[in-house]
Amino acid sequence: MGRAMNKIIDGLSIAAGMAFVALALITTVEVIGRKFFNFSLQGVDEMGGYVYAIGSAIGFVAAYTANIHIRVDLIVSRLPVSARAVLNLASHVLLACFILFLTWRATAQFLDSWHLGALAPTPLRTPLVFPQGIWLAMLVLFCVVLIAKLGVAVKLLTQPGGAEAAARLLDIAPATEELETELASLRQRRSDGVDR
Amino acid sequence: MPDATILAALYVAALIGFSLLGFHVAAVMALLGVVGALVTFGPAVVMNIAGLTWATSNDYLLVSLPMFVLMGEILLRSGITDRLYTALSSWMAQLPGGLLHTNIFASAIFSAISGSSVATAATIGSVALPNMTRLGYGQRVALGSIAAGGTLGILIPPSINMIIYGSITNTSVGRLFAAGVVPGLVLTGFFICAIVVWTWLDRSSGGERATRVPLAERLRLLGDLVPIAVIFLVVMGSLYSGFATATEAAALGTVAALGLAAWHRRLNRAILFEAFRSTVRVTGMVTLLIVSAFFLNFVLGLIGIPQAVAHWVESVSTGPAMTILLLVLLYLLLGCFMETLSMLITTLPIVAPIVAAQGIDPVWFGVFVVIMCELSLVTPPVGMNLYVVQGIRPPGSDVRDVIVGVAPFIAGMLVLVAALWVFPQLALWLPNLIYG
Repeated sequence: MGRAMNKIIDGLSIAAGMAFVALALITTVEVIGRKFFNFSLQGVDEMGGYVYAIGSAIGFVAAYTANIHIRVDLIVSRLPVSARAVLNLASHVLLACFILFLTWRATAQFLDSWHLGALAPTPLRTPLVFPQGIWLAMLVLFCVVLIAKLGVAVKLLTQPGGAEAAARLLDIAPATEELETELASLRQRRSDGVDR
Repeated sequence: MPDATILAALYVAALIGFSLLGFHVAAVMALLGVVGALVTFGPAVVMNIAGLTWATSNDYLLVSLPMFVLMGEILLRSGITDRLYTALSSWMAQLPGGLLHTNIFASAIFSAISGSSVATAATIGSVALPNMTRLGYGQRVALGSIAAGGTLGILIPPSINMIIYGSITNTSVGRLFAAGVVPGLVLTGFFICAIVVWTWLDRSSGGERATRVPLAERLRLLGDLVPIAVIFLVVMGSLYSGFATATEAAALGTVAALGLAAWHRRLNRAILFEAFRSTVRVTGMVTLLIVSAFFLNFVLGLIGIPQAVAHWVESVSTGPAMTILLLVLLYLLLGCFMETLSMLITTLPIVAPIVAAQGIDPVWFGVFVVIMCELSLVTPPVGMNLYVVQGIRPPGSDVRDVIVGVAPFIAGMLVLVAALWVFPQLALWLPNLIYG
């Protein structure tokens, strides 16, 4: 389940990145067209909003699996393992409550748009169920990932001596972790650059 | 309905308390928003959370955020920004303490373009530190210059922090970007002065001069600075000629970055995909904080907390000068134990209305608050840049070297805050010149 899920999230991240590139290209065409050729593409800003909303919702999950959603580590890592496990679990439960609640409300919003046949108040008159539906799907994905992770953590906690593993699963990423990634990426660039 | 001042005190206590216990900062803000709304208005406001979140996620100004992140990622991953250090050092290594000055300039430009202080410390630090050790530079000042130099990127445009400030306080991002330029240059100057004074007091820390790079080679290396100049020109030029909005400028910058990477034959699938992954992750992390902050902001506004706090501040403060002094102390304190971005996002809903009530210019305040963010990147115990610089050193070395090394640069930032108070035109002259 974990590996398949990571593949899905990775694929979605890359799709979102491509959408950002496409948006940058279209925006560039629009700006240059407007300035020099007196034409304007309708609704680039509206599309940009949708791409950002959906891309960032994919980012919510991607950031979660990469463990980069911001938490302050001043106390937690200095606590004994049982307290660390409890606080880490509480933290992830709170995040899950927030996202589940948001997803529930987003579902209601989507259903409203569906029943009312709501259109964006723009020249494109985009039916809102399309962007809101994809956005909602990404939030649902985040819920699934959160619940799955909490499930694993709770299962670990119920096993004898599982507190350490549960605490580690939900730990705050140390500041050095991101640096390690950057240094690895730098070494990669250096070795690629040899044949330059 | 409980008294708004009491709710404000509870808000601050809960925010700090939950954050220190390691809860996700975005979830803490959402929780406070939900609880605040339930207590004062019942469920109606809370039920609208998705509508508010959807509206925030559709904000066209915020579309500039993934665009600028992607631009930085492409330039970073394609290795275009890596050549910066070598080019700058070939010109500056002959000056007394030259590599220290190189660190400041290279880190400033690198972090402004890449938007990542971690990538800055990793890239500049891992090239600079071995070189500087070889040439006998003082460890502490070398470490301090890299940690401090990397903070300049959030003041020098394009700056993600400025975009977030602009969107939360409804301030023109174009003006904010322009307002960061002069203070950014002045602060760079202060950092240079700090190095001159340090190496004068401690002659041994200035290092040997590096061997002179021949002029022809130096001129050739100058070419490596051209892509950086192109990016600045495209982004800032299009923004300030009125040619493009902030989001459009970011899109033009991204396309220019793609073009430059292709020109350098570094535009391949692996690099692009890595840039995409990183962009989406960072965008998700920042946006979750922003949507929670917008929701909380909305609820706090309905309850009237910012107004109550502004009223309270007016009753204890003797005027704007005192308010700013109090805010300097508050941000120094918060910056010691909060992560920079979350400090910015969690305080603005309360602080911005107070400042507005005192008649302080929002653009000036944007610059002020970003400098306070810079400080929080280098103040112990949780200054991010201290740890990333420490992280590139050999295992077993003492983080206190970095903390001591960065101290004179912290002094430089505080002097800048004072200078900005006395001469607000440092920040406001350029945006007023451009926008009238």
